[in-house]
Amino acid sequence: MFPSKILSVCLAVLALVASLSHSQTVAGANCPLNVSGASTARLTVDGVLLSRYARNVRGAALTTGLANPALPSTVEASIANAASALDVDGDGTFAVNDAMILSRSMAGMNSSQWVSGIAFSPNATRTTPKSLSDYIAGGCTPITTSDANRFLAQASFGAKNAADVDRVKSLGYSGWLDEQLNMPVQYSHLTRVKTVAATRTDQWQNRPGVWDVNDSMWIGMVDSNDQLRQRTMFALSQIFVVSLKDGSVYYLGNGLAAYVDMLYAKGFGNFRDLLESVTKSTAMGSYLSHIYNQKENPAVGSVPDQNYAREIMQLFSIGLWELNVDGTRKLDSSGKPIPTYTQSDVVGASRVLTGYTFDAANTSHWNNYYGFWNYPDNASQERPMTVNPAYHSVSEKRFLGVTIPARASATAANSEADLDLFLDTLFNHPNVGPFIGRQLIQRLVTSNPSKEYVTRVADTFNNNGSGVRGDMKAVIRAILLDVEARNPEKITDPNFGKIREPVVRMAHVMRALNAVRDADADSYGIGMWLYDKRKGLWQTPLGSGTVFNFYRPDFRPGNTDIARAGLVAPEMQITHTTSIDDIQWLFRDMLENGGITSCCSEAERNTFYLKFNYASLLPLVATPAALVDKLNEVFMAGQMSADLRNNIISEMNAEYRSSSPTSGMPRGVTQMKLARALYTLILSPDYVVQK
Amino acid sequence: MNAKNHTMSFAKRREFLARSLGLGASSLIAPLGFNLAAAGSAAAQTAEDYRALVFVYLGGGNDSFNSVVPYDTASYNKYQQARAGLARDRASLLPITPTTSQGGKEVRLNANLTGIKSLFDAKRLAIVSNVGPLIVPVTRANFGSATTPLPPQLFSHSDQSNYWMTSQGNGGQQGWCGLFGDALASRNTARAFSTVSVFGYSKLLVGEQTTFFTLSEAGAPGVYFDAGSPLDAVLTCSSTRTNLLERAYAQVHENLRDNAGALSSAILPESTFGPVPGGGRNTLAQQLLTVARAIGARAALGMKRQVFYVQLGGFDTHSGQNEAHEPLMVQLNDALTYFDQCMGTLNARDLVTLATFSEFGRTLTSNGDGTDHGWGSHHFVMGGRVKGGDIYGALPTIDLAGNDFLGEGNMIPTTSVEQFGATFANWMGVPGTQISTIFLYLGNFSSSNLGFMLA
Repeated sequence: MFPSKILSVCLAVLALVASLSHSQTVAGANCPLNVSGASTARLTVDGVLLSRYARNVRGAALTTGLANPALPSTVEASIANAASALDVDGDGTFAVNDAMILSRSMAGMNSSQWVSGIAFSPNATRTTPKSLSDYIAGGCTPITTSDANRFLAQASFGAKNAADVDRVKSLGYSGWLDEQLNMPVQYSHLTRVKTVAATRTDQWQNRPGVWDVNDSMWIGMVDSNDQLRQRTMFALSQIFVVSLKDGSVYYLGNGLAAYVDMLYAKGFGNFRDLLESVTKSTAMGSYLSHIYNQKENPAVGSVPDQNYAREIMQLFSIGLWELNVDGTRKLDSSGKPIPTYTQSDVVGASRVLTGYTFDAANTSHWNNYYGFWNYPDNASQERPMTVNPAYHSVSEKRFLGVTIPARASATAANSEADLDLFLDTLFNHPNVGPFIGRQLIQRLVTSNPSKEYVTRVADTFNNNGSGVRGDMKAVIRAILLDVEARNPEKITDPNFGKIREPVVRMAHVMRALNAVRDADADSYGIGMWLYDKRKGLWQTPLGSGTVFNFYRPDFRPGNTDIARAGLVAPEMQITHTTSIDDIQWLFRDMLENGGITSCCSEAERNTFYLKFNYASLLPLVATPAALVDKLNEVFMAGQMSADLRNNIISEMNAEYRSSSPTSGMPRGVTQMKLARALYTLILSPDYVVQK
Repeated sequence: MNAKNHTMSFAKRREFLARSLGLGASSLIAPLGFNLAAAGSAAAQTAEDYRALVFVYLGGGNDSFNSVVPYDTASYNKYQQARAGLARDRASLLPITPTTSQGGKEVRLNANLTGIKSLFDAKRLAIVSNVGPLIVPVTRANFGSATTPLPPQLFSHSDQSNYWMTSQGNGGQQGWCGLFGDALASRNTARAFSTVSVFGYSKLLVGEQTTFFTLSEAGAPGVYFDAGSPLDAVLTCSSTRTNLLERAYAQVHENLRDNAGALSSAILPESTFGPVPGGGRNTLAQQLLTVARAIGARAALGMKRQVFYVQLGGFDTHSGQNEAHEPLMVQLNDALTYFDQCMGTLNARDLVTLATFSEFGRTLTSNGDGTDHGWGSHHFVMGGRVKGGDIYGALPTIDLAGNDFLGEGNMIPTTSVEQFGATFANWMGVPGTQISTIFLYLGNFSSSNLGFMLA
């Protein structure tokens, strides 16, 4: 039950939302409509010029019959230069639809009349009266700072500085994606962890450990400029899950680092290649135990390990149920969902997945059970697994309608051919596009994409436009350029958005506050909280408790309106009274302190592992409104409500509750106030939900 | 923040190394002596109206063939034959003598389950044999026939754990313990604590109205903002937000604001109980200590019926099973024994019943150095009101070609999850009409109460 005073505070929010949704300003004065060269834009001249130009009229015909136009060549240049601004529907080109909408707006029609009878192209991002009037009222600026920050929240771990925002503005979304998709890999975890380990002399510590990989992950995600790759890698690591919390991976620091490097490289390649590389990685082989997986042995009654055979189907490619291209389940004639495979398919596939192990492993390695750490040399962890035909099953293998007949003997070639056929079969299953596409949308843009959005992304998976299936670059472009991702009207759609994963929140805060490594060049000191009673973020990169990731894509939190609406909220699976308490503790302590220090002497308290750079923000504490406006842009892409803004300012100046202000504010009052503004924003559901 | 974890990481690496190497968690965890005499006054007869269930989820699918091991000669020989390299040494097994004759079949306990054996002998612990998800009784002959409906996606972790934890009466949307909470919450003053998890989210605990509260090994979470403060307004206000994700997130802050204070002031200090076995490394015992501390707060909070949830992972032993499973048996044994002692300290053994469950058992067959996903499995039920020292449900006939097994070594359950759950519902006092609603298929089985609970 709400105490009444709290309810009254809350009600103000509703009033604000109501007023926002009714505000519509229409004015095109700041749009570059004055293409005739006259002092003001006129429908009868400029409107006609735009319409003619859009219909490919050029030269003298462009200006025929018009009063006092500039030379045709000058008009053509004006329009060409302003084409991206004049592309009001945002489909990538200035065309007849744009000219028609602009003419109607110049004629003083209301915005609902602008779209009457217009058939928008599938790529259009502004198709509604509100989005178009907002755009034109905003001066036809193609990408605003808020737009860029919103885009970067989906496509990266957030802007680090104004230059990041300007890059999006100048290149456009598509151009920015092209630049990022074609940027060479900037960072290698393997190189880093090997370098770090080489500095240690202890017999157990002088090889890379999974802790090194965890430290390295934060460095890559926060510092590296190939941000789209970093964010995509984190999304992929939540589908193709390998967990450093599992003992099977503990000895495979090299293998795990190589696994992430592989996700960097193959994540922008073809899905078929990605699936094979995942399958053959030593880290995955160890985690899901298909490394050293042996053919059946009738003498002792043993059969192949089914672990990977099941999970590659259930989690990494086709899922449990036959899907339509829009991601919904197909139903049989009696209305029931249709399983994609049965236990006998798992058994058949398990035979395919026999014989793989570390490159160059010998028979004695095979005979030593508990073999995931029984590798020939460190470098073998880094290479894809290879097949030893002596351990590969020669029995008949049936899976998903395919039958590989029994054969007399296995060779490396026919063993590899078995795997190729299995992976081809999975790759070509119609489920992959919607199954993987929907999950990537959920990780980057929204928990509940429309069927149409899933369809568009799945169609792109199925065919990138050049007849290629599984082109990951095309899939990522389709996800981030989709009208549902870009349309700013979705910000106020009650069902839109996603809860930022705790790791995404942390990386975003680190980038926005220019975190640096201070005491240890190889670690931000974030740690994994594996043994602490306080669990920090309740999430760390590569730290899922099981192969089912931190949360399921179809998770519905009980007793919530979002569940009652039939929608999902995956990240709510790790959101509960304990985790939000731990997370607030982490952020408050860290932000008040200015970073992460060690404990507990004076000297230790001044030894920073992670250190924020507050230099540009501290001077703004004296003018809270200016500070909050800046934070609104940096963290929330300008989406902050007036209520949240006012509450942050109030919280900054609220009386400090500690009885001993001196000891309670070791970093000073100004930093304390800044920290309050920061954590009030960062803990708010308004920020937590990326929209 | 003060990153203790950073400065401690090297020492912890070393600890983790020792454990992963199979140097044996057992060698690092001091065995906790169980002394019946010291446990003493058992439970005083009390008229206190309080009942709690504690469910221990063994995540990943426990290999119950190596927990409760076939022992009679015929069974053991078949067991050993089916799982070369994984079978437990026959001589090492701990004998138990169930009250009820098992028709010539004999089982013994894994050598690490010394405390559990003592509890069985003291009749405070029972074994429920071969439980699993079922809609109707299944036999080898009718498996796969169109007239024998099966739970969806057998052998899948996520689907089978979901099936174990949820009510089929509402299509698997709510947990059966959450629905117990709905049925019983009116007896509780602090309804928010009707179901409590010490391991984050559990669908088992979510009902139509019941939302679980979470604790951690650190105890109750703190409220970090004042009601009515600007920060409160920022974090909460779920009812006036338009975005549904924001609402869901804000609701958790509200749960914290409205309830955490009462619990953190009422929860007993750790020092109420003895040291946790394993020097703090037994995560299951740590969680059960938190449960004991919260049960100790029952009177202060006005609680009459509660369900608690804890979890121990690592049971998905596809490979390296011998090295992985034995330390888990040690942890389980030490944790359950410790919890029994905690309940003794609170004089609450008669008020609290603990039970294990797992999404599935494992294959009787070996894959070389591990086992794969199975179906039915055996479980432990512990407490002062358990009719202990006995086995409930039929022991399977260990024979891969026999009627209790499918191909690939999967044991067909002979007792359904719903019978298992309904027995606890009866003890908790969930009205019979609601029991049959929660457990939709209960009527398909011969008994709706397995009889392992005293009234």
